[in-house]
Amino acid sequence: MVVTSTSIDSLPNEILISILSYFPALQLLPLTTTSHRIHDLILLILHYRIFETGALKGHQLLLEAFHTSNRGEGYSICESLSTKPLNSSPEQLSSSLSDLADLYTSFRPLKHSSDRSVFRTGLADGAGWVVPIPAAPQPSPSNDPEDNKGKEDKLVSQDILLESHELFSQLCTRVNLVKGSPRRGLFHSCVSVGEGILRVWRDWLAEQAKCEGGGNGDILWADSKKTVGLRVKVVERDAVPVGPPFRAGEERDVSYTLFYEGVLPHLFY
Amino acid sequence: MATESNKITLVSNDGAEVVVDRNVAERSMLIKNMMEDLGEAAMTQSVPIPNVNESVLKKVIEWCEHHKNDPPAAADDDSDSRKKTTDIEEWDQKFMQVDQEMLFEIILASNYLDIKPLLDVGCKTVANMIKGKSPEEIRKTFNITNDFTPEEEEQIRRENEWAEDR
Repeated sequence: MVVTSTSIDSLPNEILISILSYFPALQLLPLTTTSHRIHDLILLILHYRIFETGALKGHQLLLEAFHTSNRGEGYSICESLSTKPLNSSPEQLSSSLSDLADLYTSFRPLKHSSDRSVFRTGLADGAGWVVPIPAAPQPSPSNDPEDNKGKEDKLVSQDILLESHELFSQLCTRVNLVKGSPRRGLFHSCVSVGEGILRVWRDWLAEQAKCEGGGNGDILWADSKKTVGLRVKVVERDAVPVGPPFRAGEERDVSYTLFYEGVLPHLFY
Repeated sequence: MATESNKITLVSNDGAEVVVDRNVAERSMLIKNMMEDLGEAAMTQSVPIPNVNESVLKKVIEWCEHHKNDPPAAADDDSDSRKKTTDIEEWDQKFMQVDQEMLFEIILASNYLDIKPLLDVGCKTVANMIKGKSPEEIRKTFNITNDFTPEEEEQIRRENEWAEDR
């Protein structure tokens, strides 16, 4: 009889995966140089997390975006569109860890049918996140990129007013992943995917508003690490009620509406 | 009489018979389902456990004995990995202070016998042994052969660079 000692190599992949799944992505990455087997399993885990979260299985992605001078106005539930690399060909199966860097899932924030009458999330006596869940989101808008008619109505928007002395406006963005529960309005868990403050500059707004279709597809990044990006469409609103007449050399008051076309969180955790 | 009929006999792969309370043995979903399928017949004959030897079986039963009154795990198995901790209750920590061979045997046995909470404790124990270690230390701890060439290792390190400042 051959006596073989039981070692970590004796464990089947699914058990090694459960062991490694206790670690967040940042702790897993350095471990990839341990051995081929561990490298491949870690890659599998990270991919699975990105795609599984991207498909929103049992979860909801909530976007909060509000002017920094306001406290939160509420959140929008987002529908999941797709998970793919930002720059390279979409269908290429990533085989290395560096491919993960480029893998973003895009979501589209949906307007509540009751419009924006929502409430801020908050902890209620430690029992969980109690939030009135608005009515079901509207059916997803047509995926045809040319079909812009009526699209704006469905997009979540944000008005921005820049007074003559202001160069930029600041928006606080927060993306949370929550797990719903059978009890309406109570979230099991709430995980922050990313948050940051992004600056929308006067010049940038003007430039975007001039572009065909209200934007050139630029992504606004909420933080330097590119954890959360926003795709917006900028539309200039009708002239603001005029303040004091502006003098030469002074900028005028401007007002824009940002329509949130997409949220791009990097689901690396 | 009642107590007598509530015992069942398990037989390890090295032929040892272990008599155990039915409710203790039924921490194992495998045995529980087997009992349900076999009905009363199961009480009169011994149950072979072909994948587990005597010392491991006794160890596993020791765990089941201690945890026999645990409430059943919530049906909604929360797979949200971001919320997982590797905290282990004190008794289980002591229980898992065994050599590596026994540790992995317990993990394999709990997997085979389908004792999810014990499997979790085993996985957490290994995760805690990995935590905070460098790849080199992990290889040393678990006697893993480095099957990367230096070039491959370097390449992986480069691939990981993007995440370093996150």
